[in-house]
Amino acid sequence: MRLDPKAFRRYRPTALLELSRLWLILLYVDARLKVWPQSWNRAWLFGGRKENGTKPGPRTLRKLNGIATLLRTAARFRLRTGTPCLCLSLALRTRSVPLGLHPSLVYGARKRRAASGGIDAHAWLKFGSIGIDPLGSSEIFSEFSGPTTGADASGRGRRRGRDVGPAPKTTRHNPTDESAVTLRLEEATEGYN
Amino acid sequence: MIRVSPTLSTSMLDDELVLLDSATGKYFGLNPVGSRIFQLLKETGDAGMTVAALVSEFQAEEEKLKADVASFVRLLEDKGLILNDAA
Repeated sequence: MRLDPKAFRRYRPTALLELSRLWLILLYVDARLKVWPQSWNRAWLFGGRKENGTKPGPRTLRKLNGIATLLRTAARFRLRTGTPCLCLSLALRTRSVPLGLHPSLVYGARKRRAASGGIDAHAWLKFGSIGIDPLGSSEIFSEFSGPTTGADASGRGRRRGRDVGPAPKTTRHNPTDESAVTLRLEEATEGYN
Repeated sequence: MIRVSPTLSTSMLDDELVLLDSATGKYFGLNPVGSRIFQLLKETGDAGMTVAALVSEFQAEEEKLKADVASFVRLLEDKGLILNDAA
């Protein structure tokens, strides 16, 4: 994207400084996701689930929302694009640490509405019970629960804050159909949006 | 004994289960029947007991179900989503 100097006139110097900082963080996050092997990134991407998110106060929350807004602006000037929600959430998590916060990086999924089907995945941050999504679309995603060794995963996922309950019996389907048992595979780090 | 991988997280979308494997960073979607089989495998830890439960739920031949479940278990194993101690 071409940089228009006029676009930055409305920002205060402190906001411009923050914007530059966020742009550099996004560049680092992008590069790390693309270059580092998955095994090196595993704790970075999935370890956050174990973190005990501290609930931010109203003032910190305003600051975080301000950073998230600037993050979206900084993301428009990234050299590469690929996994916006994951990059933005990781960048926001990085910027939360100086504020004394250690949010959890959470993942969710939803079905595509298109006839072709498929699944979309999404990532956002949780500060205790407060969710902050730089892209603001986490409500339509069902959060992953688990890992399954520590939680009941017998079909209980959280969906918009309520328990879905066990999966219904699928007596309408015949499991011996060729298409009955299917496994779709998608690269998570490619598919997040 | 079949165990679900400890790196797996799950999410239920209507009647379909989505599995996220933190070891590989990949996610998998199971259709309703696949989801039910996966649930039974997790609950019983045994392919034979899963087939027995499915026979009572679905009007299908046991032999055909057995073959379907066995191939499904192999597929899950190949993807590292379950650990089969018997194998």
